[in-house]
Amino acid sequence: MSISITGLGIVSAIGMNLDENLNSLQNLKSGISNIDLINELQENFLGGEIKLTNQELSLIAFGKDQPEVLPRSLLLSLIAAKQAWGENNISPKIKTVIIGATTVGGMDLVEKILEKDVRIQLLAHNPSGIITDYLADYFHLDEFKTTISTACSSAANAIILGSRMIKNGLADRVLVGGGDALTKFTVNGFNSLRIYDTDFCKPFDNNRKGLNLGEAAAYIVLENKKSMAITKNKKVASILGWGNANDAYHQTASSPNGEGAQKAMQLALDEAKLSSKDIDYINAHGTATPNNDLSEGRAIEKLFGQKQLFSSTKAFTGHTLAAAGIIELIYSILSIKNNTIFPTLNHNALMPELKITPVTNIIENITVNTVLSNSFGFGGNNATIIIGK
Amino acid sequence: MNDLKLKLKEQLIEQLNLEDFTVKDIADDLPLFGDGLGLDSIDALEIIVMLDKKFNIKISNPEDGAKIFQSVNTIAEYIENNKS
Amino acid sequence: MAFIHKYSTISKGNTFNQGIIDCCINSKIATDITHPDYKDVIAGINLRRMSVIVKMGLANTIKCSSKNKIDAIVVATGLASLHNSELFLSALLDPRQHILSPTPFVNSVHNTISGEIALHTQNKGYNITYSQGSLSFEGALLDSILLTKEGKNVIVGGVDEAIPPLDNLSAKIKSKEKLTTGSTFFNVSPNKNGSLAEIVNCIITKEKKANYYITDNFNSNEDVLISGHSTCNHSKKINTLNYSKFSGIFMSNPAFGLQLAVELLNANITELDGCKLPSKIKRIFIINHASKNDIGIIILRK
Repeated sequence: MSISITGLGIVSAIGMNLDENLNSLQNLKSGISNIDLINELQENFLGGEIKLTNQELSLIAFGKDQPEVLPRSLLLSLIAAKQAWGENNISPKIKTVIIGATTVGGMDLVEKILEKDVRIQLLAHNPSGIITDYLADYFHLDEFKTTISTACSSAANAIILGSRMIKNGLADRVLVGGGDALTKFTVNGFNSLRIYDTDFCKPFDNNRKGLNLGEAAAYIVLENKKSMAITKNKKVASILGWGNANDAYHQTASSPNGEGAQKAMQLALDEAKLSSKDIDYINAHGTATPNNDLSEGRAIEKLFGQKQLFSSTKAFTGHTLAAAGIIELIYSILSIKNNTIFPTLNHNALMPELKITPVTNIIENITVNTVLSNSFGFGGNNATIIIGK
Repeated sequence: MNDLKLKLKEQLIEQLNLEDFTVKDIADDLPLFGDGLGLDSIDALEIIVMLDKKFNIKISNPEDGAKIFQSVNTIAEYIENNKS
Repeated sequence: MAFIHKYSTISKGNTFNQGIIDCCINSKIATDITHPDYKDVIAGINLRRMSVIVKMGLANTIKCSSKNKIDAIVVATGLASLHNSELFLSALLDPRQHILSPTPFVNSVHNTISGEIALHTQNKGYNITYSQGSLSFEGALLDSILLTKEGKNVIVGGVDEAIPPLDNLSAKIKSKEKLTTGSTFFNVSPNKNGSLAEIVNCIITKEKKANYYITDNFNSNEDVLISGHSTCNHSKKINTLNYSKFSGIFMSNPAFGLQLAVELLNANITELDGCKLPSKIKRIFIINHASKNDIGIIILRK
């Protein structure tokens, strides 16, 4: 069963479309800066902020001024989803579903409210599903729709569900992705856990102190052969395998040996019927927290050996929470398409616990056929996806 | 010092929601992490918040917590030595 | 393909111990939720940090577990822990607070329920959380059907909490009732032996198509329709039981409706809450019309 990726859309701190993102990656231009659009953040925080107000985003999303106040995550998601959906049409012959992913949902609107009772009402009126509801209406997708919310692995899990639905004949075509805007809630949340770096994040660096958050949204279109025969869409890449496993170690931290990460990666290899030797490049979760990078680093080393090429692109975009899994899948596709491995920025000191070393300078003119992408969330949620040409 | 330790135990029970415990159940030298009370890394962060709010003690590096939070004794000692 | 073997509900009245029919329908309908004593069900020190919805989901999961290995944990929640979201919001919006407690933030994350269930039961298998408002449970159930096709044993459920002053979301969910708290979980497997019911289908569609589907498929001589909304609009006049009457309104309450359906298929009763039932029920349609134009339909048979 072939699962093809035929449409892509992405907005992040390093670009408002695919070409801009690629350009930034190739030119080593990070999008992390002082977060200045959120009022009354008590400290200065660095983050991958998209330097556009909601009004400006709304103008891009709708092509004109529109009066409805919509959550920022929704605006970002709509822009990305429109790019991905492109010229696709609804057809009774093509069973189409939509799967979204978010942790923030409409929280940016709720946290502006100072009155407690009003705030609770607004929270209840803006459940996570509102973004997918809006997109389903917008694209006239009238059948199955859902949203996955598993923190940092949300979009990866959404892609996995979409792939399994196609594999099992429950869908011919899937619009799938996720979006999370920067909010006071999440910035302060990660800071209260003392894993938010006051400096630029340094994935897999011995002196790493934590993450920088980012905001982004991205969507892709998955199709089976039957759908592609009708839509005539061209394949951009293929989904080859996937895996989801739970670390069951701690509410937020990963196990020291990366047991859950290893299991997810092995499941993905099994699903793809590949061995670890077949993976040309790993786009790691690599948040730059002391815990994740050690746990994931050990898991990668154990499963793939010391020579495995891997990097984290979070120093470009920040950690985009629910969107991380999908923007990094798109960067993995760009890797394949452009025969390039994008580096781990801000890296100066190797981790003594690991023998493997991350890619820290851009590698061009290298054949990349198969990429594995990791996304690990709170609650021990480990998700891995493998893509190929 | 004994008053301080008593207050510490009361605050630990409240901040960490140790509903089944009374101050009598927490010996001064009971290990708080690992095999003793069994607290974890999130509890360590909550203790930092508690020390700041209730005792006006600031701990800037959470990694220092491992040493300071070994028992009620060690926390009380730290508070005594760092009173502003 | 997907067979229900066990179920467990925490809801109004003593459903945790008595089930829904015995408790809600034969006895007087309770006004308040009855929580079991969680200390009796959940061992260990970590109970202290668990939010209400985690305790409910975990208690239900423990009650639903059997000697079969569980390969997947799938949770649906419309609103997750409102209590903790609001706690963290209050603290961060208070200018007097300069240092924030991390626990409410961690407990507000939507997949805390599925994560804590995995942690407490040491389950390292597939783990996921669905949050699509009033259609959250249908997403979770569809994934569970897929998982059984993949040969897996699944714990799947829906849980939501309401906190004061939440009430009267009538515009959003077409009900004048207050939001309430509830949790229902199931043990689902590909194994027909010893099962209580089979999940035939689970779909999400628009109202018009749903009406055609029901009209085409429902046979009032042998099928029963239970609905979450009392004024369902169906072109065929069908005697409908209303499950929300017993569960109260919460976003993932189709799970409650599903347990009621399972109980009905295994009970020997010909009338329930003023509704005459076929002497031998062939299938039960669980209709969720809680969201604008969207309808969730779950079909169950023995």
